[in-house]
Amino acid sequence: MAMSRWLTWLNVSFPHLRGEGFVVVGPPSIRYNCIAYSAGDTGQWWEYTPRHYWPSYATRSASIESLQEVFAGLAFVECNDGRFEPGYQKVALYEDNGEYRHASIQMPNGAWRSKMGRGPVIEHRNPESLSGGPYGEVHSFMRRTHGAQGL
Amino acid sequence: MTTPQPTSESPQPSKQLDVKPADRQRFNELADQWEEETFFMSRSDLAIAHPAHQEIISMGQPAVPLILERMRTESGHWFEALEQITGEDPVSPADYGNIAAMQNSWLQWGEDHGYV
Repeated sequence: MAMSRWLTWLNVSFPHLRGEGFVVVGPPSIRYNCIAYSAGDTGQWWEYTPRHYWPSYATRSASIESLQEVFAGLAFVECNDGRFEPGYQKVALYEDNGEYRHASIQMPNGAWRSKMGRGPVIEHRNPESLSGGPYGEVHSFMRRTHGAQGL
Repeated sequence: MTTPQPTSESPQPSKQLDVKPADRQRFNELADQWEEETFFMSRSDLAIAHPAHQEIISMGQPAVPLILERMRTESGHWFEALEQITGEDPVSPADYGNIAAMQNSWLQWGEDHGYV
């Protein structure tokens, strides 16, 4: 899809982005998704379904709890909010009707980045920038100390 | 909607040439719609439930060379459609999640079966 086309779709699909602005920091790719990106893997598509990668320690299910298991295995623990805390890296997990829809990750400068499905990687102001659209709402936050790797 | 039965025919050359212009046109319309409207989805199980994807599957065997052709452009995840239409899965379980390897497996399958 042409860039002008998906830029339009981004603004249409995510109403908060339109007002807050965002920066495209990576090209579209069908090879990895938001879960993979937030986990630091740009070589695989992470999904609970049988034909995709899912960590063996996590339950294969679309539930938000399964997604929390994925990040718990990467040394993330649940925390209260997405406020920037020096020394910590945070992820925001999104859900709709109990099923996970998206994950975004906080950068060392406090900004948030999201791989948008098969689309680009964007930098957005806060996790709520993507709420109210196809990703549902932010369900929970998890954090780990910078440099922690997990299982 | 009828679910196409898996094909068990022998490999044949030039299946690409069997595609009717009307099938190609309809396929391109549906594929464009599906790729656009599911572009930001992070879960393929949600994307494949899209009506356009289901209609492509219902096209059956004529859609196979068109899907393989489109797969070369890295436009979308077509594995579920190919599997449902052909009844086959040429991807090694070790490659599940590695999209490039999964595509290569299907393109090789297409070549072996005369689709590309």
